[in-house]
Amino acid sequence: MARLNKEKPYLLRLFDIKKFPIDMARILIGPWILLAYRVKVVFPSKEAKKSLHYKHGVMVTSNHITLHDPFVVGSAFWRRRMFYLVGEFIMKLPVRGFLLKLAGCIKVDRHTADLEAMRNVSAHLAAGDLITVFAEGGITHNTDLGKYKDGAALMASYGNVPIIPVYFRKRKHWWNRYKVAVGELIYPKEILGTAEPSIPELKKVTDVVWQKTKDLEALV
Amino acid sequence: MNREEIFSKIGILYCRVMGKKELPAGTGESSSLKEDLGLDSISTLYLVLEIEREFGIKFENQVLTSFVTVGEVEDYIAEKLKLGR
Repeated sequence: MARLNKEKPYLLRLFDIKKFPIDMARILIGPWILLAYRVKVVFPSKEAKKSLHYKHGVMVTSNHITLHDPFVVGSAFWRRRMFYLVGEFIMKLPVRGFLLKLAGCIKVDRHTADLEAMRNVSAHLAAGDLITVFAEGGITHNTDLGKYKDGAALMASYGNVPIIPVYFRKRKHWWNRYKVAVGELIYPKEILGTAEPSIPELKKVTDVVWQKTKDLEALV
Repeated sequence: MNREEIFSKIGILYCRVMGKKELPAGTGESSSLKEDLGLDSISTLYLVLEIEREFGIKFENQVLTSFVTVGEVEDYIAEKLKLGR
């Protein structure tokens, strides 16, 4: 399985029975979401355009201003299945939790060392999935980029996958288009120069991701 | 592997994870993970992943939040490795 996945990463993921509910949601609800948010994706460079078409395991880190954000970021990466890290308090309610799980949400307890979430994310990244993390750790309600937490850097480094920084602002009116800035792929291994980084070194990755996201502000 | 070796290995992994040259002075089995060693949720998670890799064991998510001291982690590893006190 792992060998096949390596040889044909995209084709294999295209027909995955375990991800059938997500695919159904994408087919049935996806077009309405694309229509409602009408996302325009902008890039700081030609190299950054490759981020949208990256076909292997990757983490997307974004700012978080409203409850609409998963749909906004999802619209930018509509070509791929997306999995989101969601706070456990949101997934606590049985029906909502079940539906969110079906839609590809991964429960994470932000206040403790959540080993289960880490294992889930690692498994998804190894399978070549795209995981979205709102790295500020919650909704900030404003466009000033808050401090990023180190979880995304740890997960990306441990899974040996790149990070795509994303930034967008709240639209003024409901009829306006969302403008989403997508940055270049950031490889933690290139920043760290080691496969076994320490926590202070991981903070460097977080700082680079934060700075690259901050640089995207000028584009939107 | 005896308990001293487990403690020593935890110490080495701690230093590597936290980017320190040595354990804080006076670190022993009764040292608190949070107050004495300064481990937050991310560093605890990272340390546990490294311990799992080093010892070839799997931690359960529920027990992770119950650890307060180094000795409790040591006990858990010893139990998983079927070592007595």
